[in-house]
Amino acid sequence: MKTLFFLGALTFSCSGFTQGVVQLTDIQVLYLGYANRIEIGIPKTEGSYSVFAEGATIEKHDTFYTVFVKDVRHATIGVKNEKGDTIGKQEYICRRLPDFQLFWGSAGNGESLIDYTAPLRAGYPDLVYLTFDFTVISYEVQFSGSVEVIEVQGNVISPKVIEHLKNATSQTEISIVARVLGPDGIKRIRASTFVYEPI
Amino acid sequence: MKKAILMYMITLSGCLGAQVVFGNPEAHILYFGYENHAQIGAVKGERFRLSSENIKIRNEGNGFVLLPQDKEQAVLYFNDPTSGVCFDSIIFDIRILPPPSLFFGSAGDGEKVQLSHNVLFAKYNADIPLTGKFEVKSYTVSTGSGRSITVSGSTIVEDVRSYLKRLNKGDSFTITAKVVGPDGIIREVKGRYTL
Repeated sequence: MKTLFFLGALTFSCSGFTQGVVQLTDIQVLYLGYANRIEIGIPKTEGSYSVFAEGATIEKHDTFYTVFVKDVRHATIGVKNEKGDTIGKQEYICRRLPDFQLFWGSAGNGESLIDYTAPLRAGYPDLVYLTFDFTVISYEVQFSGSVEVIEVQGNVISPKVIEHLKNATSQTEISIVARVLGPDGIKRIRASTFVYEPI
Repeated sequence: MKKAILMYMITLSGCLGAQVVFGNPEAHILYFGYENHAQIGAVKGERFRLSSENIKIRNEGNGFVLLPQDKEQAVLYFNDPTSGVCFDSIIFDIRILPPPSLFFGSAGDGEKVQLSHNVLFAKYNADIPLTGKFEVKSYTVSTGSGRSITVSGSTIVEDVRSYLKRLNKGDSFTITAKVVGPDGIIREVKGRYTL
C-alpha cells in the first residue's frame, strides 16, 4: 500500500502564557477532514524546539496547534530539540468524523424514548472522543397520525409536548426537526425520529 | 450534591523531567470506574501543583492515573507551587464505559466458532481504544428452535457443547451474557455466531 508521508516542521522558542496540558494515554485519536486541536507541553530545559508531523500537516497558533490528517490510519506528531534529536512523539489513530446526532435524553435517532421529560441535546455518538458543545435553539415536533406541528424554543420538552405524549399510544413515532448551533457558530437543521413506549 | 475537593500535593518539575506531553483539549474525557492513564505537563514546562474536584490522582510510572469520583463533571487545577495560585484548570466530561463485545473463544459477533474453544470473553474490539477488563458472570445460549440453556460463569461447559453439537454446520445461535466491567456495572451483551 502506498504510504503517505507528510513532514511539516515548525520551530519555536518557549514563550507564551502558562497553560496545563493533559494527555489521556488511551484516547489518542485524530479525525479526518477536521482541524484537530492539540497542545504540547515541552520541558523547560529544552530551549528551542521544532514540531513535526507524519501523515498529517500541523499549524501553530497562539497556544495550540491544529492538525489536519491525510487519508491514513495512523499519524504521528513529534518534537525535536535544537540538535535534531526527537525528544517526544505520539502516534494517533485516524478516523472519519461522523455527523453529530440529536438525542432525546439517552435515546438517539430511531430509538425508543426512556425518559421523555429529559431535554433534547445534540452531540456526537459516545465513541467519538470530542466534547463539543452543541446548542438546540428550537425544535418542531410532529406525532405520527397527526398533522399538528408543535414549535418550541430552546431544548426543554414543553408541557404541550408532554401532554400529547400522555395521550399517545405505544409505538407512536415522534418526528423532531431541531435547529442546532454548533461549536463553529453555524446553525444547522437536524431531524430525528423517536418511538414512544408508555412507561 | 456534595462535591469532593481533593488536594494533591504533587509538584511537578518541567513536565516530569524530560517528558513531552501531547494533549487534546477537545477530548478531555474521563471514564467512570476506569483507570484513565494520563501524562500531565505545562505548555512552557513550568512547575505546578495539582489539585482536583471529583478526581482521585495516583502516580504510576512516569505518569498518572485519574479516577473520577462520581458521574458529574470533574476538574483538574494547575497551581503555582510557590504561591498556590491556580493558573489553569481543565474540565472533564465524565462518560460511562461503552459496552464490550462478546467473543466465543476468538470468534466475535457474526463470526464462525470452533466448538473446541472453551471460554467466553467480553472485551473491546479494535474500534474502542480502551483497555477495560470485563468478566462474564453468566450466559444464555439460544437457537432458532426456541430452546435455550443458561450457565453461570464464562466457561463453555460440556452441556453447552453437547447442545450446540446438535446443530448443523452453518446454523446460527445467539449468546446473551451478563458481564461486569471495571466500573462494577452489570451489562447485558449479545453475540450471534455460526457453527
